[in-house]
Amino acid sequence: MYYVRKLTKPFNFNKIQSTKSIEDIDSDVIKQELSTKENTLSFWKCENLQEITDTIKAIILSTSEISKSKFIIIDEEIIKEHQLEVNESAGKTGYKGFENLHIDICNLTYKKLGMILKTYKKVFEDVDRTHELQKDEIKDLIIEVIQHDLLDEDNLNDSLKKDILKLAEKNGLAI
Amino acid sequence: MNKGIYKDILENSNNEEILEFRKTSSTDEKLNNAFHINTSKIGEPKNSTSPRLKIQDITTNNRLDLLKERDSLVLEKLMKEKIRLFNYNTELYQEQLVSCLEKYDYSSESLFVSEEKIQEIINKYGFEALSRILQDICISKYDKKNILCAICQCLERFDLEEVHPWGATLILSILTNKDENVKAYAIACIDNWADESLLPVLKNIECSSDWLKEYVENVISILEV
Repeated sequence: MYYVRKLTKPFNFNKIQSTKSIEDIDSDVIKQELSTKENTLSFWKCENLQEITDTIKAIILSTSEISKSKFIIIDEEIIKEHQLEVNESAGKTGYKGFENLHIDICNLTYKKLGMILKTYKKVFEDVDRTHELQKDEIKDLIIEVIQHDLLDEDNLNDSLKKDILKLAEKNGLAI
Repeated sequence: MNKGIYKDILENSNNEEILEFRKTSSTDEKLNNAFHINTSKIGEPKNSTSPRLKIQDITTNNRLDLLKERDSLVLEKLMKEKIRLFNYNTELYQEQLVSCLEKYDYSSESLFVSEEKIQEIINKYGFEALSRILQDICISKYDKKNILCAICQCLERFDLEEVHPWGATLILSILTNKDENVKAYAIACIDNWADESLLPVLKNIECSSDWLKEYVENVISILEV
């Protein structure tokens, strides 16, 4: 099992990767990448890496815009190693039928957040544990979802919905 | 009636009808010139109606000229008023957009109001007005990092063709800001546009931080593929 999360800013990958110690990472990076709500951090799971496309589609359709995206993929073993609590909870995504891919890492503390940040730094050294998609590739994935009639408009962020409507119109697709 | 002008005609004309003529200073010269033109029509007494037609032509033409002049003055006034209103409204929108952009705290949620305001400007005045407003904001708020970053974030939502050519120029100006986080946002915008015509820009960015150099190199390597 793997847990996937999209980076808020692709260049934060470079900031985290190039820093010698996580203690020197800008606090804005922590705010942007590890922003918690009720002490929880959202991830999306994926049973195996061959099925990662569905997880990525679920993530893309839970965000607020169509933009170039970088994803971090964390092995379940690392989560267990740090004794981080995982709670299965349906997520809000416009990818119909894949809401159950969402999980929360919960009851986070300053210490646990630090562990996650260290994990990020370690994982970023492994090319196979990051996945990057260009804006056009994101659009192609969304078009696929539309063509398979799996778009759930009601669960789309308003801002993303506008982008998708524009994309659909441009490609002659009906939503 | 000024018989001096009509003397020759009246003496030679069999037409007893007297043409009533109101002499004004503006028509005087034109009329004088008309009656002194040496044409066969005016010279022939039998064609006594031709002076009358000439006067009518002149007064009609003159009236038309005056109307045209009045219309062009009205049009000019309307255009000036339209431009004045446009300038007033774009200044108003500029103020409103600045107050939205100031709210940006580097989170997606805080960008929403700016995006809405930008869409409002586009719907009302088009991309040209938006370009003017954003350029003015960029210059006046060049020391406000969060505003510049917000502008980059908003711009990357559009395709490059939609904001061509001013979009790339605006990003180029933001790239000259000394703050490397601001540069990163500008580069992220170029990254999203993914247009190889911007490669020369990327290859000439000055960076001191290792992370930013690596980021630029990543973006260049993808565009060069």
